[in-house]
Amino acid sequence: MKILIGILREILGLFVEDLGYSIVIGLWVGFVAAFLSRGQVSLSWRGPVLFLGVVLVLLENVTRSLRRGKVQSVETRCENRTKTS
Amino acid sequence: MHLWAHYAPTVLASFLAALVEFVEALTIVLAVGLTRGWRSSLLGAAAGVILLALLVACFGSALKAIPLQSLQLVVGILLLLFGMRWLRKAILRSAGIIGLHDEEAAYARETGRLQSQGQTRPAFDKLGFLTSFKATIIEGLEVVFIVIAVGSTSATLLPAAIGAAAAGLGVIILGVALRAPLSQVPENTLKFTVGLILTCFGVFWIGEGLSFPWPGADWALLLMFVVLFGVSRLGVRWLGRRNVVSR
Repeated sequence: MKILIGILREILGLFVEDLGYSIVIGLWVGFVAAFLSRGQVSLSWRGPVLFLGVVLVLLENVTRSLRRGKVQSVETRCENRTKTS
Repeated sequence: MHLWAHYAPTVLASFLAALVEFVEALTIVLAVGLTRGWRSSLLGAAAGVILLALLVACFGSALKAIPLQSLQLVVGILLLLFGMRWLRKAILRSAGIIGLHDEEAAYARETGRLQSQGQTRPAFDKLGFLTSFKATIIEGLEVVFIVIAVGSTSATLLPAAIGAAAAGLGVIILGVALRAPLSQVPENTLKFTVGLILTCFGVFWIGEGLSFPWPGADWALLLMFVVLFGVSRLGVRWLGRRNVVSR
C-alpha cells in the first residue's frame, strides 16, 4: 500500500511540482477555452494568444523563483550568522 | 518535407525524454544490483516492464474510444503541465538558481540507503526487488505517458514508440558495458530540450482540441519551438546575471 501511494504521488508529481504554477497554467487554459473560443479574438490569432500567455506564465514563474531563492539565501545567511555569533 | 515536420518532433521528443528517464532508472537498478544482488534487481526491473506493458495494452486500446478532440485537449493540458515543469526546472538549473541533478550523487545516495538496511544477500531480496520495481514503474510511466501523449493525438504512436525503444536500448547497452551510472549524459540540456518540445506540443494540441486553426499548420510547432527557445535562453541569461549580482 505504501509503495502504491508512493507511485501515485510520483505520478501526480509528473504534472504538479509548484502548485501555484500549475494552477496559473490551468487558469490560463480555462480562460482561453471560455473566452477566446467565444469569438472576441479573430480565429487565426487564438492559437498565438494561447502560446504567448503560456510564455508569460513561464517568465513570471522563473522570476518569482529567483526572488524566492534570494529570500531563502538571505534567511540562510542570517541563520548562519546567528549560529556563529 | 511535410512528413519530416510531422514525424521528427514526435521521434525526437520521445527519444530524448525516454533517454532521461532510462538513465535515472538505470542508476537505481545498478545501485540495487551492486548492493542487494543482481537477481532481485533484474527481477524487479523485469516485473516493472511487464506491468508497464500491460498498462500500455489496456490504455492504448481504451484511448481509441475517446473522441479525438477531447483526447487532444486532455493530452494537450497534461503535456503542457509536464513540459512546463521540466522547462521551468531546466531554466532555473541553467541560471544557477537551483542545483544540477547529479547522477553519481543519486547513485551514492541510493547505495548508501540500501546498505544501511543490512548487508544480507538472500537468494531473493525483497527490498532490492521492490526498489528496482518501483524505479522502473515510476520512470517507465513517464516514458509511457510521453509516447502515448505525443503519438496518440497525431497517429504517430509507432514513431514515438520507436524513439523511446531506441533510447532504452542505448541506455541498456551502455549500462551493461560500463556498469556505472551514466553521469556524462547532459541531463539538464536534455530536460531543457524536452521541456521545450513538450510545451510546444501541449499548446498545439490544446489549440487543436479547441478548434483553433494554427497559422502554417504543423509548422506552427517549429515556430513556437524557436520562439520559446529564444525566450528561455534570454531568461537564463537574465536570471543568471541577477543571481550573480544578488550573491
